Amino acid sequence: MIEYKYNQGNLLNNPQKYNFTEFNNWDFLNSFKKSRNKFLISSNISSDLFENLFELMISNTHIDNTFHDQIETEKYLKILLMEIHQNSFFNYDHIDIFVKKFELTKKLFEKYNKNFIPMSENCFNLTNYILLSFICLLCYKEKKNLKYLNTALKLNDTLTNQISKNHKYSIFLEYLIKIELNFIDKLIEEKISNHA
Amino acid sequence: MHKIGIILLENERSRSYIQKIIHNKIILNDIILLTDNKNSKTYTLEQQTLSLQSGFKIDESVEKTLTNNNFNFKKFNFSEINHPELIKYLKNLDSKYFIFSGGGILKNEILNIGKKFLHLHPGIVPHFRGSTCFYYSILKNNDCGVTAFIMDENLDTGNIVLQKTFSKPNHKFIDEIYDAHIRSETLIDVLKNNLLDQENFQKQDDSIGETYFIIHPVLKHIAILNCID
Repeated sequence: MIEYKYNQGNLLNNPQKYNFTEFNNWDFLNSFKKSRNKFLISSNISSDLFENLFELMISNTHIDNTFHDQIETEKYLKILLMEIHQNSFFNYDHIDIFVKKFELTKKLFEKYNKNFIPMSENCFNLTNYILLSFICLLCYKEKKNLKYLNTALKLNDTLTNQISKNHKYSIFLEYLIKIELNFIDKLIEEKISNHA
Repeated sequence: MHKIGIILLENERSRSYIQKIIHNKIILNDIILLTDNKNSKTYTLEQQTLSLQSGFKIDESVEKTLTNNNFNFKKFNFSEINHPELIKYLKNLDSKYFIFSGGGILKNEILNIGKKFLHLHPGIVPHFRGSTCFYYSILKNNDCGVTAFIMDENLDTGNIVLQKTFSKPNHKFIDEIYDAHIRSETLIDVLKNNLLDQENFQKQDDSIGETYFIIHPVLKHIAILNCID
């Protein structure tokens, strides 16, 4: 079996470009699933994946939603997530800015100015990648727009590259992977006639 | 009639464009070849056969096609579309329109020289703007499309010359063969029907639509398996 290679190397230092990726038939999809399954280690993950991940990430969190000269990415993404959770409001204009920022550089920086130019060289805060992956998966659930599943897959490549099994964030990653795999399995079932 | 030129690269897309232009006896005013001599790609027999079925020889270089057909062409030893030498050269040519076949995103320096650039984008805009749209279109609509448009300073927002929808491919060589095939078929329709002369272009509403980013290999595999399984 071939090895899933898109989460190999240090992706925050040498981002994956995904240009002209090669086709390897079902072997590739099987290697992808095998690679992702390595991160599903807990038996106590609840079936209500979205609600539980909300609970883990933003419950009892009070966020001051004022911004001055700079946009703090973690705070901003948490606000976007809370708007979805509390009001079912998807602020696609703002979500799409972060999707584009990540897609173009495969990085999320700590701070941006009001024109979304990076104001920090620090791109190593994994919470930002977890938050945006969760938001993208929620957007895909809501709109079935493949753009968001596409970005979530890339974010999860970065996260599986950066988070080891004993990492403090591994439980978040486990939820994200479980949701992602559910969507991928469903898409395979819908789109490929000979999927068994 | 407006004079038309073409800017070619040594890639599959350019090969399909120039070979089908020759096959359809379409006359171009200016032919430019950008080549950095890096293309040493080889193709399997299956790829060669499928490309022939799609109306072009994938393994015949653009330079060979031009030379064999005794065309005069200007060759540059670089592949960047925004190169100052190319901009200077284009300014002095008579052609009003140039067919674009890659080489980067056009910057204002080249967009503002008084020439218009025709792009064959593999997606029906405004619904499919951005990168690798044919894969998203297969997954969403079970078909593919091409939009011929005049390039402007934004991404895939230019005035539309022609849009065509195609059945999804029945083989796996979408990047190498199918992409080149559907773009070149649309180009030939534009040129044979003199659509650039008519200048009856349709303005896009850039406030609607979707812009996609380069497809993740998992989604790409699902799209290809959707075509061949």
